[in-house]
Formats: sequence, C-alpha cells, structure tokens
Amino acid sequence: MGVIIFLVVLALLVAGGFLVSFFWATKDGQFDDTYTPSVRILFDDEKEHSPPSE
Amino acid sequence: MNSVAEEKVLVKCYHCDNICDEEVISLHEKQFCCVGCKTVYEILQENGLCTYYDLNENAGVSLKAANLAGKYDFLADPVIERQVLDFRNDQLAKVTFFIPSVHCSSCVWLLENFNKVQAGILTSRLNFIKKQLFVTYDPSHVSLKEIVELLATLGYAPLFNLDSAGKTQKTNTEQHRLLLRIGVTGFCFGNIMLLSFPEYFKLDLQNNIDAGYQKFFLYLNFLLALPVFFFGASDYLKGAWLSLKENWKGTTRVLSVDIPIAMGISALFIRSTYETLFNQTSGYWDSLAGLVLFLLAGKWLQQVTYNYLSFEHDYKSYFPLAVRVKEQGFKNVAELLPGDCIEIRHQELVPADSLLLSDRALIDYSFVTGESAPVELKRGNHIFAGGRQLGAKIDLQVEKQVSKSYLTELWNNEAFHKGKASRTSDFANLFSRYFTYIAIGIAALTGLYWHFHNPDLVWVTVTAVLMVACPCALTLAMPFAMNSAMAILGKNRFFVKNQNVIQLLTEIDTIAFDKTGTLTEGKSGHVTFADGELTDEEKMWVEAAAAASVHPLSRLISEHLTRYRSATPVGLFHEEKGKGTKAEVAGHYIRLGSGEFLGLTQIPKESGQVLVEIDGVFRGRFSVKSKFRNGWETVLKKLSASHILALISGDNNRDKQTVAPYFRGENIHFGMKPQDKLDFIKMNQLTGRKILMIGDGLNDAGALQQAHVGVALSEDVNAFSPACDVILDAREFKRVDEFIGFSRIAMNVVIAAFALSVLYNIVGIGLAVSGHLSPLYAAVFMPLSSMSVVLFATGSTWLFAKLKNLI
Repeated sequence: MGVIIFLVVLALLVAGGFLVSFFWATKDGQFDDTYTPSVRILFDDEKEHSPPSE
Repeated sequence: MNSVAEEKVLVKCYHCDNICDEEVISLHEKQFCCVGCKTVYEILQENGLCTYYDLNENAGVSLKAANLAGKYDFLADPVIERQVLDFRNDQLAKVTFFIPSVHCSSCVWLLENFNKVQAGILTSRLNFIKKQLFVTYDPSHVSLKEIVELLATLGYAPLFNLDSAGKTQKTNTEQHRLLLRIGVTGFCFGNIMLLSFPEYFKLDLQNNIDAGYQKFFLYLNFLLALPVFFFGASDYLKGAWLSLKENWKGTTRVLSVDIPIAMGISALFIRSTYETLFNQTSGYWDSLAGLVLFLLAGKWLQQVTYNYLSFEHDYKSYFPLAVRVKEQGFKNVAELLPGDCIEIRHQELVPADSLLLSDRALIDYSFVTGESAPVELKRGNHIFAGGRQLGAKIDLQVEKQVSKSYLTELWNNEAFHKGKASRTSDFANLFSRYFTYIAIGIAALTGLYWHFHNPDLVWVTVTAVLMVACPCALTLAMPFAMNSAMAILGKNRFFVKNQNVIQLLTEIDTIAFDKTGTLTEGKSGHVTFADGELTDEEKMWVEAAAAASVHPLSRLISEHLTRYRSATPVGLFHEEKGKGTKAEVAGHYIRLGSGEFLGLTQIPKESGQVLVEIDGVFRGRFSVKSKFRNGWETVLKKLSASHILALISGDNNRDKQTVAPYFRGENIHFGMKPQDKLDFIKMNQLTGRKILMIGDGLNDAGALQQAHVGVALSEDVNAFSPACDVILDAREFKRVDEFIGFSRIAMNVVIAAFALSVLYNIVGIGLAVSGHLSPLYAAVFMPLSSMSVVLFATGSTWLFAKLKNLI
C-alpha cells in the first residue's frame, strides 16, 4: 500500500518541478516573443572570415 | 547576378534587389543602384557579415531616398538622449528602438549581429513581430547618435516620435498572470482527474485496503483543488464581488457575468469540501478544476490580439520628438513654451501653433484637414500645428504649448477619455441580467419543493442546481466563436482590435466615409488632358502659369507637369478668385480657368475642369478628378441597401457630382475640419444611430474615436494608423460589406451556441433538481457540454466563412 502512496507523492513532486520551471519560464518572458526565436535558431554559427559569396 | 551593364533593365542591385534604372555603381563585380546600397555592402563586407545576402533574396532595404544629414542631431542633446534611453549609467546604457523596415530573417540576423559592426555595442536583440530592437551599449565607447546613424545607414532607421520619450516599458504582467493561472489550473486538473479514476470505475471500496487509498486520494484532491479555487478562479470571484458591491451601492444595475460563474464555482467548492470532510465521499473536484481550466482558456483566447498592430496611436505618434530651438539646441516638443523660436526645415512638421517669422512659407495641411492644396503664408501669419513646411527653412515663434494646439485640442475631447470598452453589447448585458436571477430562482424553488417532500435532499439539490447552472458553456461560446471570426477577418486583412468590436460591428446602421484617401486613392487628384495637345514647350509655359496660382486645381496641374518645371519668369500675372488665371510666360499670353472666365460658354460645364488658352487660342482642357478606389461604386451600392451612408470630407467639393448618387443630400459634407467630423458623428449618435466611420488620416481621428466603430483604412497596415477599432488594408476596401455581413453571421453563431448551451443547462438542471447529479455524471456532463458548445461555435464560424468564400 505504501508503495502506491509513495509513488503518487513522488509523481506530484516531479510534476511540481515542471510547474515551477513553467513559472520561471513565464516570468523570464519566454512566452512574450514566440516568433523571433524560430528564426534565430536557423542561423548557422559564424564562419570565420567567410569569403563574400555570390 | 547579371553582369551585362548595357541591359539596364536586367541589372538588379545586389543590396536591395531593385532594378537599377538610373546609374549603376560597381564594386567587387557587384552592381548597386545607389551609393547608399554600396555603403551598406561595404560595411557588411568589412565586418564579414555577408551571410546577410545568403539568407534571403531581397534582404536589403533600398536607400535611394535616404538623406541622413543632420536628421538625428537631436540625439546628441543630453536631455533628449536621456528621454530616449531606458537606462543609463557610466558603463552601460539600454535603449529600445522601433524599426519599421524590419521584414525578413536577414534583418534578424544582421540586427542581432550588430555588435560586430559597431564597437561598444554589448548586445542587441530583436523582437521581429513588434519590430523592436533592444540594444545595450557602453556609452563611453559609442554614442546614441552614432548607433542610430549607423542603423539608418544600413537601412534600418529607427523611428522617433513624441511618443518615444519617457515611455515606460510596457510589461506583460497581465498576460503572465493569466498564463500562470492556466498552468497551475492545468496541473491540478490533470492530477485530480488521475486520482479520481478509481472512483469512476467504482472500485471495491468495501475492501479495507482500497478504502484507505480512497481516503488518501480524496484529501489529496482537496489539497490540489485549493490552488484552483483560490488562485485559478480568483479573478471570477473578485469580479463577482466587485459587481455585487457596485449593485449594492446602486452605481450600476447590470449584473456582471462573473456572478453566475462565481456562484457555480463556489457551489462546487463548498459542496465538494462538505462531501470530502464530512461524508468522506468524493466531491466534484474534477468538475471544478475542469470548469476553471475551460474558463481560463476562453479568457486567454479573448485577449489574443494582433500584437504587431497598434490601435492606440494619438497625435504623439505623428509628431517629431525634438525640434531645433534657436540658440538653445534641441528641445523635446512636449516641453516647448510660448515664445520659443524654432526652425522648421523642408518636409518637417510644425509641432505647435506658431507665428511665422520668415518672409514666406508654404504649408501643407493635408495631414490635419484632408484639404489637398498647400497654403501660402506670409510673415506674421499664424501656422497651426500639424502643417508640413514645403521648401526652404522657416523660423517660427511658438504661441501655444503642443498639448493646447488647435490640432491636439481634439484629443482633449471627451471621446478620447471614456474608452470604448465600457460600451459593451446590449446582448451580453441582457443575458447576464436574467441568467443570474433565473438560476437563483430555480435553486430557491427546488429547495422549497424538497423542504416539504424530503428535507434531506434540500442541500444536495440546491447546490447541484447552482453548480450546473454555471454559464460555463455560455461564456465559452462567445470567445471561441469571436476568436475564429477575428482570425478569419484577419486573413482577409480586416484587423479588428478585439472581440468586442465584432459585436459592435453587428449593431451599426449608419456608415460615414471620409473622401480623400478613403474613397479615393492617395492624396492627389488624377489629372488628364483632353480636347487637344500641347507641345513640351507649351507645357512648360502652362506649368509656370499654374505654379504661380494658389488655386487647388492649378496646384494639381503644376504637380502633374512637374517634369516641365522651369524657372521661366511669369509676368503680368492676374488671378480672379475661383475663376481663373492669366499670365504672360516667355512672351506668350496664357489663360487658365473656367469656360465662363475664358468666354468659351459652348464647352459644357464640368467640375474640376480647367480650360487652357494660349495666345487667344483654345488648346484643350485639363480635367482633374480624384482617382477613386477600385470597386467603390459597387461597395457603396451594396452598403446603401442596408445602411444610411454619409460622406464627411475635409477637402473641397470638386468631386461632389461624382459621389452624389450614393448619398442623401443632407449627408454629404465637404470642408469639414477634424472637430466638425467628430461633431457630425456625435449629432447623429444623439438621434440613436450607431455609426461606423471609415477614414484614413489624422484628420479623421476624432470621428474614428467618437464613432461606434472606427475603421482606419491603411495602404500599409504596419504603418501608423490613427487610434481606431479596426485597421483595414486599403486593397480590401471593396469588400467592406462582406466583412460587416460576416460579423453578423458570427453573432448568429454565438446566439445558436447560446441556445445549445441553454438546452444543456435545462437537461443538467433537470438532473440536479431531481437529485440525480452524481459526481460521475457531473464529471462527464459538464466538460462534455462545454466541449460540444466550443466545437459547435468554432466549427460553424469556419464553415460559414468557407461558404462565404472568406477562407
């Protein structure tokens, strides 16, 4: 019996951890601009002294 | 890239991708259309940032018209600089720019790599949708003016206006709070659902071990429901409390829709707490959490807007931030005092009512009044704020503060203070007034009935009725249907400010139009020459004669013949007001004017026509007509079937005959000042009409604000529109009738969804009254009713849009 109660509480704590991270993400403003990051992620890392390309 | 320079048409600028039609500048085997574009390429090339061109085909912004000399001098002024910056100390400064020309991923890339172009810039971050660039820099290395000039050189000129100073960064706290509520409620809902499953399947609770679990789950559910009630639903509880207080005090007689919702939520919470703590049977926790989650989701949809459009601009967005004050450097326009002497250059806006100190000024008031002809003023004349100087630099003495100017007085009108949010639709009011009373009435009757028949059931049934009667499905129908309607209209470039506007749209019965820029395209008239031909030399003479005249038609002709402009002196000039002009140009006698003026009575009279006579011979006539928008006649005809139409124009009445067939005589008004337009709307509203105003310029701002619904027509929806409820892309003007029709359909869908949910409520209340609403029934029934109403509302809105060819 104790096992299930332990698991339920544990599951709640794990899920609670994600809830806390959701709080942090919201306060951090990660949901304020939902478009620009989708463009930003497509940029390659800087090529050193890339020759001017045609 | 094509390298054959002879095939001029084919040479495209490497930077801005426009065709190089005038000159071609070559560098590194690449062609550029102007020095500006070449400069940008050089800057990018030096800094190894040519990836810019690889990302997008037409990344660059054309710099042909750019002239930066002295444009940003005001940023060097420490006072102005401080007003623009968000933060500053000795090592660090933060600033937010609004950059209208941001348009593609290359822009994001370049602007976020801006620190590689300019030393001293620490970080730069772009919000693409809002076109805002956040820059932090080291003020000891680089100045604000240098940054802005470099941005402008690259084609990303930040916009500065009176609004940019002292603006506090808008925080999204309101939206954050809602998101957090949804997160918490969703979390609790999921867990409560999971822990309620054993109950749904009626596990054997007589068994000792299982009964132990059941108790544990029950109390855990209770704990999980606490944040749902006290955090998730707090807005509804507070809203209901406020509404009750206001009704108690007698300030309003409208019961807010929060009251029945709060009643339902509270009934669920109290009944479930009682069940849990005293009976140790499962309560309605899952229904409670589900209900609140649905409501919050609806609320979230309701506040979705087009956040890349701004519906709140006032005159401050149009006015410059700073102006040159004689012997004082730059001054914030808002701080100008009477007596200050200011300098205004070509194409600059006069920021405050002033006295002209220079000899001569040519002021274009079209921005303020809609009148297309510029006005010539002499020393000592008064100039109103909002006029644009054309030509040489002028000196002015400020007479009034900006906020007290003739133009800005309009914004002190009450129409700008009361806010449209208070004008909620009659429909929603009617509904929430009766719903609360009916729900309480049924609950009371049920209680009374069971009190006499089976007193044990009173508590159970009364709470059940209040729980079920919660207008959850009802409150969801509106946001979901309206949100779909908003999305559909947005796809058709008819951008409404918020959901409330769609309801307001269904109520209008009168439509008022502006003429210039709304029914017609752009500002100027369309000039054609008929009944003859003029040689190039003759055109030169005519232009010179027309240029000397101040009549609006002459101005337009002179504009039309710009290419033939010369410095030919005009002699023996004589003008008869409203009739015509005679002048001697290069030894030739030119007469321009009406048939009456020239003595040519055989030519039929027509408004907007100017006859041309050279050396006593009739040579033809110019006819000046406004170029009306494509399909304007059809749309007016369609709209006039169901609405009263009115025309309120700030321009002169030369187009009166063209527009007359579509409006009733008393509804056509020309020469209206901004205040007159506002008053016209107000007068009509007093007779009980609900008016839709369609306009484009700042001169319509008052009318747009006063009207039941204000529609701002815009050639470029991202550019500034005056404060309004709807921004309509000018290309879609001919479909206005369809959009208004669709708002009616959307409203009918909402009404149908309301009817459906009332049906559900009747079934639910039936169960509740008879004492059959078990937690399991509730857990299935309540979300099911909400879901089906939501699906119905959304689905049928899209279906009707499809039928009407809007998607």
